[in-house]
Amino acid sequence: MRRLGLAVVTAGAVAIALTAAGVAHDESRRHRVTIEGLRFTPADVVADPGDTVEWVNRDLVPHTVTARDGSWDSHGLAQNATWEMHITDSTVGDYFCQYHPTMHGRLVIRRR
Amino acid sequence: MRKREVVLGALVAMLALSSVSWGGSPAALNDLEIAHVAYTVDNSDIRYAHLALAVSKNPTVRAFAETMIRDHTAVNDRALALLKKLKVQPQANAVSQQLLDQSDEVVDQLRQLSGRAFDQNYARNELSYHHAANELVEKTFIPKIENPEMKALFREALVIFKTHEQHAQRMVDTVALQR
Repeated sequence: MRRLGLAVVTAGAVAIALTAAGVAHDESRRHRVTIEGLRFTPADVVADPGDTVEWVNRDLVPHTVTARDGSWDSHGLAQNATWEMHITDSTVGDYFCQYHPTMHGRLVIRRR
Repeated sequence: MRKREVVLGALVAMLALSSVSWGGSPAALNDLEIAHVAYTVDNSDIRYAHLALAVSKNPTVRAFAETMIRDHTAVNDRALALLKKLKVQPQANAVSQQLLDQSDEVVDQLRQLSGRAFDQNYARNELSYHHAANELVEKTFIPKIENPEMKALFREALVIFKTHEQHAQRMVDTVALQR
């Protein structure tokens, strides 16, 4: 029993060490951005490659979620429509609404 | 730019600025009259946008016009749905009639322009039009509206139209820098 307990503790310590070093990262997260009042909320999302970001439009008018360089684009999202994107190492973080260029958001991606 | 277009451009700019003062007595309107004015404001801007899409080749102007059609149509559809739910009809009044008359004049003047003169005057008109409409909605209509659902819709629409005003200012600045 004492040997088994030691093995469990050791395995746990190794897992924590690997995760901290960025070697193993199995727990991808899901983030939600609400579009309401012609704002992206939160405006900044900190995400890791492998995470998913979902946008939901709560406004009366349609919006887009479009990368500043055009590399990704939701196209028109009607009221209550959602759109999601898988984050990779190369995802461009700055985005805006093509229909309302005063609306901006940012994905802060922690590169590996 | 041709001399005739310069003169017409100046006239349109004056006309747009003159639309800042509203006719009739907006503060005396009831909810159904206010609904009619708002519907008229939306439709006039949709009309300007269709003219812009027919005349302008400027991508900045065209993108703005498409957004105006998309957004004002969405707001009007929601307003009509609310009126249907409440089983009431908007009521025509002197303010909305004056607005229609001004809209006819603006369209008549803009229609005689083309190229950069059109783009500049369309942009300036959109800025002054949204500014005047937003002032009216925020300071006169919203405090006056009695129906809570209608008041909520006007508050939601005001946020949209204030963003349009900012967008219009960017369009004015962008078009001014283009040759």
